[in-house]
Amino acid sequence: MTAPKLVLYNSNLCPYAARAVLALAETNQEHEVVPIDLSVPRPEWYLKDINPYGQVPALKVNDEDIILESLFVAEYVADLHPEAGLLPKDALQRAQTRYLIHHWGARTQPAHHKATFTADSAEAAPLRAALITELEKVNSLLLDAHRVEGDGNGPFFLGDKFTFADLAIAPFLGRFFLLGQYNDIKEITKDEFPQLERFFEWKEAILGRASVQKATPSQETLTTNYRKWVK
Amino acid sequence: MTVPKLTLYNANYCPYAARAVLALAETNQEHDVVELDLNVPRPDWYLKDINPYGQVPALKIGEDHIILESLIVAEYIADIHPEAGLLPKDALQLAQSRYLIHHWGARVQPVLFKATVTLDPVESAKIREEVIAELEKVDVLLRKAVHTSEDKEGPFFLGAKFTFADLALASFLTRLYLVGAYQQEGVEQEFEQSLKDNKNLQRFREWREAVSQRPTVQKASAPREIVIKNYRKFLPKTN
Repeated sequence: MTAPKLVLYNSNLCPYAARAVLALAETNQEHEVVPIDLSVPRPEWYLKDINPYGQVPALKVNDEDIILESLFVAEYVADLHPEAGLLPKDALQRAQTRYLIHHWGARTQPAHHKATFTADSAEAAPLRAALITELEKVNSLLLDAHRVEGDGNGPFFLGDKFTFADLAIAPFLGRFFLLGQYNDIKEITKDEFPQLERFFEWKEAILGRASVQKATPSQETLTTNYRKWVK
Repeated sequence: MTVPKLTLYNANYCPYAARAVLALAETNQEHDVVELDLNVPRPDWYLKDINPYGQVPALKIGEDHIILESLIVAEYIADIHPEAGLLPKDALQLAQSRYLIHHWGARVQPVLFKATVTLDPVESAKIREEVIAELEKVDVLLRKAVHTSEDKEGPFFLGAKFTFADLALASFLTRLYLVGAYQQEGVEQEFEQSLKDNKNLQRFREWREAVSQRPTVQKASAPREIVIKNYRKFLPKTN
């Protein structure tokens, strides 16, 4: 199959766009990148020809079709490269993959956001506790992951292999450290919360991966750029 | 492939649960159904053993695993029956399918909901115009669907075959009447006429007709009286 011509509309600071960047890196898929500056209004041509909603990422395919929404872009790239094994073959693993991604976005990320960006430390304290509860749920989901023969005992969601759920949540794990940067909230550690052992193992494995490090801005850059969210 | 025993936790007028019902019907997948009443608090056993968030659908697989979220349940069922061809093999078609489903939920459905529960006649008329504008965008997405050489021409999203995007949106397409359900008399007919008269909705109408007429979809659609009765709880409380 001739690989299609791909153009990624990206912003280095955007964790959603990073999903697309990661998928392209993990599959070694050739592509062009058009950087979009999210700190200014989107140019007219972007709204007219690429994405009327102005968001990144967007993927232009063969100068004709546009794919929007980070997960659909990333999955499309993964689909072009079954040999990279990003999408599990087992139907239950696929379902659990999709659910972990959904769950992180719907429950965990909002809890992290609230605890991180609430300036008043007294207000933030119960939000830290709420985040712990959410992380415990993630820990359970990780422990419940269905394993098939050959998966191994590795630290990623499905074992030895870095797969789609790891990829989709990686950019958000890279921003996890922001907790406590804007208030006095204490860092959440393995020592204080041994019940989150599997979560920390998973997080560390993902953040240690070369493609993830390359796609994640420095902590200094992130801390500066996310300050605008503090309430 | 041996599939373990499947149990669907369902509520017969829930459009999200209907996605799971449709997937099971389209694939002829054997399963048990446990019906839940969404008008009363969920029983303890459901919150404890099946879904702590209390929602339907949920799918129990054997004794060990539960799948939550309607699209994930429906996709799992489609995945274990590749012969039913619900999920397109072409990567771009699959991406477009996912996007259409997302787009409807993120853009169309919120406006439909607003139009349904806004009772002031002037306000609701304005919102119905927004609904039309959103449906025109859906029409564009339908026209942009890529077709492979294997696809026969037809009214569904990808042509002659009923696939995942059609399945995921069927239960919403069959209840557009909600736009007029709580309004003054004649609003529903007026709305339907405006859809018919709109040149920019030709593809949408063709799609909606084909999906609504499909026997599995008709079987999975709760009668309008039941839907209208059960949606009343979303109306603003009045004295």
